Amino acid sequence: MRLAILLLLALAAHAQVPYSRLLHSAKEPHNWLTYSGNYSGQRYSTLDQVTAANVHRLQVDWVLQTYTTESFETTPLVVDGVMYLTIGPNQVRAIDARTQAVYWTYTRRIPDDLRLCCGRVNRGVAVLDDMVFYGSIDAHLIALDAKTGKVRWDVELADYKLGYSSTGAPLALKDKVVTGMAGGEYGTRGFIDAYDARTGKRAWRFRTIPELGEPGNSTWAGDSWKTGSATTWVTGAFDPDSNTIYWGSGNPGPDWNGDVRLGDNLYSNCFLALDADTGERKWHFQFTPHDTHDWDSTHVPVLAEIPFRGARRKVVLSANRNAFFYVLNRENGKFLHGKPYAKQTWAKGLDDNGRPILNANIDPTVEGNLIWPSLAGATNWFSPAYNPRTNLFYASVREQGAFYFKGEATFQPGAVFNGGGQRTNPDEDPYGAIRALDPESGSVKWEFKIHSPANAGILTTAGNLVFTGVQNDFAALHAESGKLLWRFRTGGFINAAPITYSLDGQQFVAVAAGRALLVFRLSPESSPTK
Amino acid sequence: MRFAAFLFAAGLAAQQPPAPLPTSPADLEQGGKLYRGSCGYCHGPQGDGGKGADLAKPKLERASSDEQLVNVIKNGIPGTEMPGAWHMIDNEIRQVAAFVRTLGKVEARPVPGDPANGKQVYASAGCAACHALREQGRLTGSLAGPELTVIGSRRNAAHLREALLDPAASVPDGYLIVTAVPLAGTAVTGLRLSEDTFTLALRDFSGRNHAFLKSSLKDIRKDPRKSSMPSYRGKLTATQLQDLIAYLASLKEPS
Ligand code: HEC
Ligand code: HEC
Repeated sequence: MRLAILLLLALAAHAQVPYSRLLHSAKEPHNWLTYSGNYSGQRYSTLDQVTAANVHRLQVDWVLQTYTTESFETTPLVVDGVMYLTIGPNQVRAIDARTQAVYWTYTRRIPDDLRLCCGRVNRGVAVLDDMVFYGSIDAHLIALDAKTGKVRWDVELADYKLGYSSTGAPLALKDKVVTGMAGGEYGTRGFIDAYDARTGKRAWRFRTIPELGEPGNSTWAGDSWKTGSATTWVTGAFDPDSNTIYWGSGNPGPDWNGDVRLGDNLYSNCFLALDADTGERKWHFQFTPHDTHDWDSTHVPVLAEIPFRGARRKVVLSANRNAFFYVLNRENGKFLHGKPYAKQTWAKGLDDNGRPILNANIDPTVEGNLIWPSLAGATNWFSPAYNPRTNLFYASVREQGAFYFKGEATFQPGAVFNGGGQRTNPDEDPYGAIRALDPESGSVKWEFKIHSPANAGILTTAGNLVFTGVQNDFAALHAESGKLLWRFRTGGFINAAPITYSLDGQQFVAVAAGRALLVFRLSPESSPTK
Repeated sequence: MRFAAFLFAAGLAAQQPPAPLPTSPADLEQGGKLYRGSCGYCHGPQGDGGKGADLAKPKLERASSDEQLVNVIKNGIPGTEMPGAWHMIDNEIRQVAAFVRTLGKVEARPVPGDPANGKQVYASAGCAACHALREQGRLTGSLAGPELTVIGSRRNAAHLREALLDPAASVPDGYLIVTAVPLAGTAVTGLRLSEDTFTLALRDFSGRNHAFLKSSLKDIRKDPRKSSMPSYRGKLTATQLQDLIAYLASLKEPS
């Protein structure tokens, strides 16, 4: 009997993850199967062993030191006792979550002439069936055997020498693996790709900038559409009921000099709703038309069902880098409402369709033009979270402006193409916060203030908790009040988003901090608490 | 083919001594434009730093020679956020490098006054109680304020005058004066050493270090317009002041 159980466990160690398991991930909250925990992008877990009442007993259970020289931004996946994580610049690792024994490490040979704006980072993998999918910094999508780490297939998304790269976790669904790409400062041309998970054959490509003659192309002056970027570097969400993929797109290029790309620049800075089978666009919503401040809308789209003006509505939520919080009807992309959640000086507000009503003189200038928020935005790529029990949306907020500069913008393949930049405002003492937003009103229910602009993702749980990084601390806040309940000095900056899982009846919370992955669990009741 | 061409170019470069950086106003202007487009967003438009390192200083640790500077710009610094400028042709890189060199220099306008006399003023006014100078390789004085060994390369005379008469007008980064008011006990004022969401460390004016959990504090007062350096307005004669400024302006990176 005992032996049988052991055998079962051993087999389970590299179990299959068919699509049906991803689809019904709610049935197995002990695992963390996709980048955001489930397809909805909520980063919400129903695990409730760790609660607001006992979270003060959380303590480090084990640590994985990575020795990476890069910012460590991975979201680990946990599947039946195996943890899969990425380590920048070029590794994927599978470890036994019980013993921390390493099953395998895949190390990719990467070129040393990469063209990157922001470090050789990676944010995680996807799993499907017996495979692990990884987007490499040199813009390949790679399928690894989940058991051995051996390469099953390897396809080039685009030429890294032209400024393409990949940093985000892919999203596996049905028989496909969907991925975005990065390279928004290099005059690339953005896309979202889907590949056959078995063979690596490309199933479809959605170009975020339409071809000549296609609707939307005329929103780019002249040939500027060819080098307009609109990259897709943060993982999207999926609604299986409507077979729709939701994905954010990035800034138009060149970032700060809009003169060479007059027009709205579709589909930069959008949420895109695509048919999961064909990649065809169902709708788009553009947050910042003709952006000149680098306000990518590469956010995890958060799908939720919320009470809204007396009815339950299927919505997609975003706290956008441009400092507005948006609630969109996710069936048709229609704007329901929106409101600033951080200081902004670029728009008077949003019109009935959600289009910003611009203030005068907001463009970057040669001398520098002070605008809030800064180019890092009122938030950035860090995962927000939505808790269906509190019906609150949690955002990592950056309160900071910048002097924006306009520079020359001459395109050369593979070269930085940004047309300006920014500098910070010496008269400002920037700060950050975690803010809980009520989706129905868009108003701030509570905030937890942070000494410097927030930089980490958020996890929320049925234990009435919000977990996030607060610079060099890992903190748990009360999901209803924002009260600080617990913190742990990690001694390393947290740029990643936490996850939670459970093993053998014990709930764990994990987060990448500094160069290490820290894994926490409750200390036994009897032991003294701090 | 490309590889062969590269070898050929490398061979050529090895035979020739590195050419000096361009100096013509047109080259510098072009370098400035390129800098503003490609570097300024990290290093700041004046090179005073931001996401990138401070380049507006006389000596760049990783780029003391022009050749090193060109190399750093071209190839970046592996393992840091400093990218290689793949988009620039060699000539452009040299123009940027030439421009970067101008960032670290302050205008060489002759400063009136007698530096030798100023040196004596420095000693008698007690500046060494808070400032250090490196002389013959040895650091003497105190590190309560910024080291002044190459202050003349970093700051112009106008700034030096202001620093002496109105120190609070431009407090350099890292010299914020804070007052921590504990829930129980007396308030402590001093130089902020570090601060985050949960902790605060400061050094009081008697030189003692203090560390606080913010949860034990009732209030934290910050005064960015306060300096721990006394104003020398009215304490020095006009001649003494001018001589002292001339002395400080003469403290330069040996070239
Ligand atoms: C993406 C941000 C970024 C951009 C763009 C950038 N740098 Fe840097 N740079 C850095 C960082 C960060 C460092 C410090 C690296 C370290 O030593 O840790 C640095 C270091 C340097 C140094 C060495 C400084 C020293 O004290 O030795 C030089 C010189 C330099 N950069 C010049 C440039 C020039 C010229 C450009 C434009 C062609 C440029 N950088 C573009 C981020 C940037
Ligand atoms: C009680 C300590 C103290 C004394 C005495 C003092 N300073 Fe300072 N000084 C500081 C501090 C602290 C700063 C940095 C903060 C500021 O500028 O207010 C500073 C800044 C400066 C600066 C500006 C440095 C920069 O990088 O911009 C100069 C120049 C300077 N002091 C020169 C002097 C001279 C010359 C004397 C003597 C006549 C003197 N100081 C006496 C503490 C002192």
